Amino acid sequence: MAKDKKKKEKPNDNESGGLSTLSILRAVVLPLLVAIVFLPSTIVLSVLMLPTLVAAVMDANKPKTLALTIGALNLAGASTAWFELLRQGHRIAIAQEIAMDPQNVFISYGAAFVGWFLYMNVTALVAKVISRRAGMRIRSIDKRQNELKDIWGPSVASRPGKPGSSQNSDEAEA
Amino acid sequence: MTENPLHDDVIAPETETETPEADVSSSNETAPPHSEEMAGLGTHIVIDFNAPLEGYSDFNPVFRAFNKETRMDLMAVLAPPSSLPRINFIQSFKFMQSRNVLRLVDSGVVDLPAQGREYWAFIYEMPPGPPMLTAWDASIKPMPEHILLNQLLPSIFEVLKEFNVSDIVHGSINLRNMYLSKIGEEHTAVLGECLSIAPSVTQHVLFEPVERAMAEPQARGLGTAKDDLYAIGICIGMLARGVNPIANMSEDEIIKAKIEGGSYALVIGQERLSAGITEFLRGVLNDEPSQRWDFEDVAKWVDGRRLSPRQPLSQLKAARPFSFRDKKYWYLRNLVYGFSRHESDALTALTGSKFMNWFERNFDDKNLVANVETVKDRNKSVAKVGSAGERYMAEMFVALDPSGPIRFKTRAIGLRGFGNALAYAYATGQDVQIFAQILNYQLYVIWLSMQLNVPPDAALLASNFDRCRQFLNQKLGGYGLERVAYMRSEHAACLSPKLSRFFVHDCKHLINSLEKLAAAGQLDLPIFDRHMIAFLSVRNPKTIDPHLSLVNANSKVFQLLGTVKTLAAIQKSTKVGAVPHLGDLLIKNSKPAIERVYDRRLKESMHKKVAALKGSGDMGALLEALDNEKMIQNDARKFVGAQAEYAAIESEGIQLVYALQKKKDYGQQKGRQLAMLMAMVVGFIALMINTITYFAGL
Repeated sequence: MAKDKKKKEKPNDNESGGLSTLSILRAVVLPLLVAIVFLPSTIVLSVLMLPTLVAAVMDANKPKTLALTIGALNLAGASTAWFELLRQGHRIAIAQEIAMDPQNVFISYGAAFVGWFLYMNVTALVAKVISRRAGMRIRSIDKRQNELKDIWGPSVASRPGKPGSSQNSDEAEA
Repeated sequence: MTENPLHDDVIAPETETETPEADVSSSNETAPPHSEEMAGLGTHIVIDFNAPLEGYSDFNPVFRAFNKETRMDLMAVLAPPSSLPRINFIQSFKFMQSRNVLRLVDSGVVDLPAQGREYWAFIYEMPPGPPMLTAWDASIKPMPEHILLNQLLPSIFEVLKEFNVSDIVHGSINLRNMYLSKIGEEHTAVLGECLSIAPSVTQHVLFEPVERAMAEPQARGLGTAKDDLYAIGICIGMLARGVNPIANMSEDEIIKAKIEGGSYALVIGQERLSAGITEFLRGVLNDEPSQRWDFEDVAKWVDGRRLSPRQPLSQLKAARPFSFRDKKYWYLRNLVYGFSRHESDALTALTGSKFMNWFERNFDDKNLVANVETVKDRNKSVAKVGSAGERYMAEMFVALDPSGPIRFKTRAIGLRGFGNALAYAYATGQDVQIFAQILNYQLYVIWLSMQLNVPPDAALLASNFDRCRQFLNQKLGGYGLERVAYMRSEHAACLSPKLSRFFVHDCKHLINSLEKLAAAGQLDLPIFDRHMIAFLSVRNPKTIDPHLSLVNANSKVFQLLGTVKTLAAIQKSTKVGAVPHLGDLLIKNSKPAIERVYDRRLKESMHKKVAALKGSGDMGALLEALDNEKMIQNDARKFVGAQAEYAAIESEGIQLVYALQKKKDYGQQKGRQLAMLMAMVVGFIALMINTITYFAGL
């Protein structure tokens, strides 16, 4: 098992040591080529998906939940404009026009804002609920422990499987 | 005259007792000591403590008694535990047919009010007259030989025949314990009682064969029919000649005379008796135990077959005397007897070359020489001082006089009387360590291995004593020297100091005595002491052996449970009634036993159950309330489960508190994930709608 792990870890070591050609090709060149080939789409999406890019840069969490939350809704908003580009012909001039259309910008950025709003409020709400539940659980544990002590005596708090070392035995000895 | 070893236990007749009459409670120990009835027999026997009967026993108090129904005069012999009365023989004795032995009417435990002590009372019919010898040193009138041979001897033999059938040895045949019944010209002898004291304890040395005479009275042990016949022979000889050697001879002189001249010569002297009586006396008084007549020989003689008794082997006599403490000794046995009386000087003599030279020059008996060589070899590398010296002397005494008792330090103990002597020592508060030393030094092995006439039960004796030695070295209650006492003395009552005023002969009486002590507030925990545990373990092992580890536990809880279990077992097996005071004492001390249970609710329930048993005296119910095995097991199992649960939730609680205190963003990760999920779902739906709208050309 340990050997397998080492074997599996080897490629990762190479990657961390420096980017291989294939990975450079996959990460930079290929997207760049796609972006150039589909330049009108690239123009529209890069303008309208700007909030997601900002969120991705700002989000320090792993996984980048803020970027993903904003990005999901931002993409949904930007998709309207992208389909409009496809409908009007996939050309650069039309792409520029669509990207600059305030309505499209509003829809895309509005959707991104909804994502951000969702992220901020749902996160706080869920955290609050979970903390409250934890507090309740702690109180319930405390109560149960007191119940157990009441029924079985303080010796119940000793290590399990050692009833002989319990206080009851000591009392009995006394 | 024999010194009275039981002097302390003999009670002075009470003339001003508050209760002049006390009733025997016989075998029904559940009845109060002063019960009106002799339970089981339907007789009404009353002992009059204001009417002591003198001259019937030197050892046990004797009172007049009578039957309330028949007004028949009776004699009550009261035996304390230290007398080691032979209770086991009561049934056999009660149903004896012969009229030539004092008839036992009844027996049982009786409470002597003046002393507040219990005795075992033996109720006998009144003897037909005073004893043939009113005092040990009293003079005797000679009886015609034809009366002795044709009337007295057959009457005694008739009794011995019954004794032989029942495998009982009288052990106390002497003229002080023999009565003459004369109806017309017919004389018959009536043998006195023999149950109220251990065999041979009351016997004067004159009536004991020399090898038994040299042992302490309480350490002679149960003899054989030969010993009874020997005593009869002495009695007949004394009556034939009308002489009483006790009148002008001390015990030591009698023993010396027996060794030097023989028993026959001691009693008959140079007098010529008829051939018949001479033959009988020479047969039963033969000083060589293997040549002495036994019951079958006497039966043949009574039937008219004439036997010629062999002359006893002459005692080992030296050609030149050995001087010891300014006395000259010609006979080896006498010298050994003298040594044993002066041990400090004896060690010097035995370790010196003078004695060994004298022995080697004067005695060529191969067995004795071999015995002496064995002892010398065993001790050649040991400095013969202190305890090693005492041990060497004891071994040497056995080697020189193998048929004599084991003489160790100041004691002379017959192997068969070891148990009685030990029980007697316990009962009278003597030092018992000497008995432990005899066992630990394995002097019994030495004694058995050096016998010239090896007893037929030697192997059994050796194995019994080996077991005793093993038990002796176990420290737990129920073992030790106390156990040895009860193992080796079958008649010993429980000799616990706590029960000193009771006569506890069985477990039923033990529980009743404990109840009386508890009622008087004189009992505390632990209830059982070493004596009681050993007594029960030997006499009624089923009642205590399964609970020995509990009774001996250091924990008071387990000790209490062991006690309750044992008492419950006794109560069940003996069907004894309720013991409320004993029960209440245990209930009062039962709190730790209840507190050992973990479940509070169960504890409360147990407390209620136990409290409800107050005054009931039902040990079985108390045991059920305190130690229901299933309940205790369930409690322990559930407790372990509760411990596990407690540990698990405690760990969970700690983790939660830590998370809440240390992680400010506690729960936010899940919130982010939920927000992301919601956004993705909404986004996906919106994207789908856009896609469908596009492809639908709307």
